Amino acid sequence: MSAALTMRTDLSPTDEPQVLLRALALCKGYARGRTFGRNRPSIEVLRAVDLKIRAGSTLALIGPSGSGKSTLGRCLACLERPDSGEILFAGKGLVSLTPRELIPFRRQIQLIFQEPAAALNPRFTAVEVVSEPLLISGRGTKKERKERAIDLMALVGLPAHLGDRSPFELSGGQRRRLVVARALALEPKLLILDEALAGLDLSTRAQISNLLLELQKVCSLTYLFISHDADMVAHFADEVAVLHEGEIVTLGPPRLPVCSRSPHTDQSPAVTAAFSRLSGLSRQ
Amino acid sequence: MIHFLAQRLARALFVLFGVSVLTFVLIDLAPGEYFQAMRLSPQISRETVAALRIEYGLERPLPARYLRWLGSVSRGELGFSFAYNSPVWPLLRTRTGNTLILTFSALACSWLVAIPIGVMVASRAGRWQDRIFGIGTAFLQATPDVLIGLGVLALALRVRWLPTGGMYAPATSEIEGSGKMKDLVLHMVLPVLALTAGMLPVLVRHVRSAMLEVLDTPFITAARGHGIPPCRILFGYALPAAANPLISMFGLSVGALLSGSLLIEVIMSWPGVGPMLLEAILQRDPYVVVAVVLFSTLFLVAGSLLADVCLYIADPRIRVE
Amino acid sequence: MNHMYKKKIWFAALSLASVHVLVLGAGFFAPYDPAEQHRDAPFERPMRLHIFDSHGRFHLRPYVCTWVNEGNSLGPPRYAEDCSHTWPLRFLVREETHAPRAALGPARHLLGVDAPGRVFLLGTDDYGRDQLSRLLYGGQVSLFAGLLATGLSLGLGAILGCIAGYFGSWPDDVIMRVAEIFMALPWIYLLFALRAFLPLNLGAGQPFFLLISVIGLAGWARPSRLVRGVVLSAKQRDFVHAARGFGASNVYILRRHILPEIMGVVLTQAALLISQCILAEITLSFLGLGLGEPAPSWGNMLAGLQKYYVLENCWWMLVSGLALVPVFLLYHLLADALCAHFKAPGLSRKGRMTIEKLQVAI
Repeated sequence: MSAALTMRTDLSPTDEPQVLLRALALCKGYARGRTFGRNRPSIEVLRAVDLKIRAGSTLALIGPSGSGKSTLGRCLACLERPDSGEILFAGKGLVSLTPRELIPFRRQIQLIFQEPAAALNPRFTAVEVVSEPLLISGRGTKKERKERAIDLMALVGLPAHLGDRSPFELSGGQRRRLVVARALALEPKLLILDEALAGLDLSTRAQISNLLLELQKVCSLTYLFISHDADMVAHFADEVAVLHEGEIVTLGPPRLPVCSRSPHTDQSPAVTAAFSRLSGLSRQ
Repeated sequence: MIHFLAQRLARALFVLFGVSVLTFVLIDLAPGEYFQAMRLSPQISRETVAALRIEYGLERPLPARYLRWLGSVSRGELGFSFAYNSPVWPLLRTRTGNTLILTFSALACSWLVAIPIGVMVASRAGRWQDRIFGIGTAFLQATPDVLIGLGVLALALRVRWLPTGGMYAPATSEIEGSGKMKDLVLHMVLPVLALTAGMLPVLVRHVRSAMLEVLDTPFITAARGHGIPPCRILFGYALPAAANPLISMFGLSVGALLSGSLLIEVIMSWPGVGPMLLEAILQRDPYVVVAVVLFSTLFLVAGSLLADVCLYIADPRIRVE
Repeated sequence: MNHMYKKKIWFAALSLASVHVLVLGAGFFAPYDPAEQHRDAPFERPMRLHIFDSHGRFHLRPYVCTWVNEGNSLGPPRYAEDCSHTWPLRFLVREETHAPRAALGPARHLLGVDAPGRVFLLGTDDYGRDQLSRLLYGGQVSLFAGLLATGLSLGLGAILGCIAGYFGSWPDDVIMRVAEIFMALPWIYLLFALRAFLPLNLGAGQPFFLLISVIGLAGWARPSRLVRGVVLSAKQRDFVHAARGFGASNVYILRRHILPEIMGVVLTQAALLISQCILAEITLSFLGLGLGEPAPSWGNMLAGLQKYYVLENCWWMLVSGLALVPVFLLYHLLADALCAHFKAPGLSRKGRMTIEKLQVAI
């Protein structure tokens, strides 16, 4: 690992984990078209959403399609402004900040998009993609940026010789790793993963999820994991929130075995035990 | 449907209004004016010129003049021509009619020729017919309208079959009825030919590409599989499916023909709005210029509106929107 | 497949470049000054280059004879060839006249004949001016009017399209409404309306640039619409959102992500728009609204053909119109090839423009 990436040692395991991100009563609606500059009545996507993510943990956000998960992710990543409510990041309110004031906070919260092919500019090379955040924030010389980009790629398991290739020439799994590498460039504290494991075959999915878990330990990251598939997040998350039609319905630790989708179902002790064993294995 | 139409009409009106303002401002801000020549002439006194200017309202500020012109439009006069010393509309009426005769005939001719050629060429894509027509249309498209007009005229002068200028032979005022009609048609042949030749390559190209896109689709292959004769497939199945871009193109072709007809009218001395506009610009007769430009816009907008309505009727997808 | 288009692009671009170099070098390639009149030789036919003389002897250096007017001075001229005096063609002829640039040394012309012989390879017009020279000098005006006007149209259109597409809301509304107004006029009428804004007589020099601005202004609307479309779709791409998440400024995003997307559209538009602007200049000059005499332009060279006598008998006067055909063919070829080139994989479906949709010409 490059010396530039340090392990966070200031948080000892016995400390009470602090709340890194807190969302209070977030509301967001979308206007349907414009008539001469005025917006027509809107569709409400988020209704008074309350969330809390503890530092170093993983919160999974699940819900059916159309429940507003991606919108919530984008609001928390400060890509869109909520209509009302507040977002507190390490205690600092974000909603009322100007775009310029928001910049340092946006860098600490990174969104990993659903479709990596769309999130990568096909005209860039892999190294350019990863070093872009460094370029934008003006860190280092060109050489230093390139070196750091290669280090980041190594961190996510991409060999250096892929650096000159266009994202189009990489496989789906490699592209996802590239997107993660780019997101880590500015050493963020919170990663919002929007359907990061969707559309992958089982082995790639296992690889990527292992990578994410490892990175979480090494770089002391906090994750908000958005998915429509409850099974996928089961062994991943410390806590699960369910979003239904714009509202948080339940919030709590994951209790799902692999055969059930609803968090309310009871399960047999044997299944629970088998499940814990499985999760214990995958977390090592 | 009503809502759609109302929306489009409102837009059209806004555009016409905008065009009238734009043209009015441009012409008004132009240097030189109709009375310039008079001013330079030593025989006419300054006071006369000044009085004339006040009479024609040239002393007033621009917005006042525009409003005055709008009033004149609402009365049906469309402003006043200094050169002809008469309201503009009577001058424009016959001329507009003449231009429209030419434009519509050329529109009909070019589409009636372009569609069969385009369909034929699309059905034989890649073969020698396609290549020959491809080269031919490329050359025709590369020939400027000026050259086409002059070329057609030169040919006619050599061959001497057709009258080469004007709209009617000088003696036709005595002939009535079908004789006059025949004379008109004879005089129309050359300008319509020139206009059609100019429009044809573009239209054929569009028809061809629209047809090619449709001919690739599964439902055409299925129709062929059912044993439907190729002619029927092409004109009964493929062409209606390809109608969308062609209807839009129809709207655009009206504009193209209006532009082309201006030049052809000047070259072939056809008494349409083209020569009138040219004359008005050279003489600095502002209201005539504004009126002519507005009319041409009106026809183009009407053509697009018609195309929009046809598209609305023809394509159910637009109705759902 | 991409191979073919690259070859076509190179071929078209190089051919066009050589044509432009040829007209730029009109001072060298043209045997005469375009305004130089030879009143005694109106509407002379193009001179024939003889290699074999009347006795059948071969001459390495081609020669021309004189035309003698056999008609009476009142009627139209009728020329017959008189080979009693032959004028062999000379190359790299030194210019004898009082050129103002004599300070740089006498200018040289590619070909000429000894005085008092004359060589009119493409005939003369009603003032006896050499058509070949006028063709070359006129090309400067017409071809470069097209290029410069296109630059203006595209520059303005691209900037406004970017602003409208990127910033949305009221700049978008305003710009698109104005563009709609400009597009509502048939292009010749728009051209005329804008041209009427300028003084009637335009000489060479500064007024020429005014004329170019008029032609350029007439054509900004459609490019701006197309650019706006591309910008709108590019703006919503996730990599733009990602860049914003890193704190990228609008300038950075426009420069690094959006600009490369619009290049394809802009270049293809350029090839089509140039031929359109050349046509606009030709039309204006033909009708007497372009550059004034004696500055030659391919348009006003054709103006003399409006008389029936000239049209019937003096076919060589059409040469400027005929010269346009290969130029336009090359530009259309270039546009086709560029369009196909930018249909590269990697470009989204929305980014692909077919040449039909781009048919700006109208």
